[in-house]
Amino acid sequence: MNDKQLVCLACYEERLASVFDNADEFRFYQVNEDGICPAGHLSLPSKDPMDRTSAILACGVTTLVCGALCGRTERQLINAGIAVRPWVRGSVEEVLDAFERGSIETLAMPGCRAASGDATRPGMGRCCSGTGLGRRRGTGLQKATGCRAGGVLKKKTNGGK
Amino acid sequence: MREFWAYAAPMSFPKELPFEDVLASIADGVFTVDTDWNITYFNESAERITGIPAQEALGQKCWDVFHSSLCDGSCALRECIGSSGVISGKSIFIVRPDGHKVPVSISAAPLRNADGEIVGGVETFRDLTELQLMRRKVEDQYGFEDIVGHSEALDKIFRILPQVSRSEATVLLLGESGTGKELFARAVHNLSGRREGPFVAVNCGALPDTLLESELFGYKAGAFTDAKGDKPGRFELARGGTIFLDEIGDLPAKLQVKLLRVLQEKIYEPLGGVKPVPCDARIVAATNRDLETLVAEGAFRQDLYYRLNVVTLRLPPLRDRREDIPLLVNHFIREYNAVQDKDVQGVSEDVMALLLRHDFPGNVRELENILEFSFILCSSGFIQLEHLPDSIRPSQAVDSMTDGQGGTLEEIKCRAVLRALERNEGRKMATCRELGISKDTLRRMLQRCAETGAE
Repeated sequence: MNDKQLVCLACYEERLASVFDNADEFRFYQVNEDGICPAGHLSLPSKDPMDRTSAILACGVTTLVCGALCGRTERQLINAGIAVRPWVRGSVEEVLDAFERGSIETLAMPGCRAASGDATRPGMGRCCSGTGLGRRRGTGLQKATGCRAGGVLKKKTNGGK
Repeated sequence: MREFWAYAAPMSFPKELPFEDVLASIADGVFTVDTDWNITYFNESAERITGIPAQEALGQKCWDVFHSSLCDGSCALRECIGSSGVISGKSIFIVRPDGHKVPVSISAAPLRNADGEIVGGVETFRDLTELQLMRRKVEDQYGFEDIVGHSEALDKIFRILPQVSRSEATVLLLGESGTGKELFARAVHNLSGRREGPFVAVNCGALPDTLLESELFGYKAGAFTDAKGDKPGRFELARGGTIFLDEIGDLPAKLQVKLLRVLQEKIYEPLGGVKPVPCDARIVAATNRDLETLVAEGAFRQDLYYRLNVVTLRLPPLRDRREDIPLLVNHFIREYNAVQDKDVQGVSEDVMALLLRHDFPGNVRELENILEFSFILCSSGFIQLEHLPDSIRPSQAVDSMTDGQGGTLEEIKCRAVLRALERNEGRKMATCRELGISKDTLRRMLQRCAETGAE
């Protein structure tokens, strides 16, 4: 993991958008020695995946965490040097907690959980391959309680579909 | 699953045929949600289409399973539960866990218990992938050069176009603005023995009279002040190829004489020239004006008209070949996807129904412009009604439907139903799909129309 990361969450209201293309806001978080701190947000009037990729690059994002992502957009992002962690669900708070603990795979969307048994069954798609992004326990980094207690992050709401 | 049976409408169902087995065996994906949007039922086709096993889907929020372009703010289930209505045949896409976007057509309705209270919703969805592939295969078979269409009106032209092109005859293309006259002119050129030569297009209505003459025929040095050297005209530039004279009906009288000489004697004189120059260009002319009327009014020379009118091709307006609209729509979408690097899957069914009803006074050009506009607002998925320009939005379609005849709501409804039936050549299922109503509703409305005598 880089010493300093700018993580982007593709959000709809207070949760990750179920589909990257549907996100109405990108939320940015700085991950450094002090923990995870909010680093701004970007409203997204355009639904064009190209515009979104450009916005992510322009903001200097190193890691994108999002919901469902089509292969074409994923390839564009990866080719642009972004570490992509797609097929994640949950509220912003849950995602940041999991990211901090290095256990973001626990928030994998249905059909994307660790494969077991018959590989021909549905749900054994590409999304299963977690990239193991996120902070690992025992790396010596302290939990950024100071940043997270700033009231910027809200608890999960009932967030509609 | 048990809850779902309780929600299902009471119906007489053979006891030996469990409802669950029926739902499991149908080709459409079906899932139900409770009022908290948790999935309560997920059939086998839903597993196949979404790529997610039912055991993983059950109990999960529907947006975490379905990953559709409507999730996150435009949910069809939420809309129909909120309005107690039904959504039918809406084209969207879902993203499968393998990263593929799958086009689907969805229908949604609220689920009610025995007391009529809403206890959730049901959504069915059909995989359109195969259908789209088949459509593309069919489309590839329907076209000629760059002209897209398979209507009878176009087929007649397609049948004679090769022979016409191979001859050296002058061709006159008649048709409304936007019917693709230049495209046909290019097809004539490409199919002719002159295909290796140049194709030069001139819009006779776009240039001032004085300039048009020098543009068409060129000039010699000293022909007028500042004419320092020779300038070849378009006829010279088209040597060995084809010259396309668009808007020929706007050609000024003086130039009509000169063009007549070109047609009759295959020679012309550049401005300031002292000896005639041979013309080696095939002429294809076009106009959207009624040349016969212009001749009768004295605005167009009769002899020139007959010289031009060797082979006349009348290009049908788009409203006379509505069956080509889906082909043209897909053609333009593929073109814009390629040019603009977008991933638009098509137009939704309600947009297609609207386009099929529209009269297109601007013909194919208007359709192209509508889609170009839609591409600005829609970059992926299906073009929806809100992506269309205001000029073609449903409110206007409704106005045109009433034709300013007014009447009671019942009469307007009757007119709408009868016209839809007429458009669909009496096919009731197609009419139901267009109007978004059930067969029973259509039957009741037709009965009421017959009783009230409304037309």
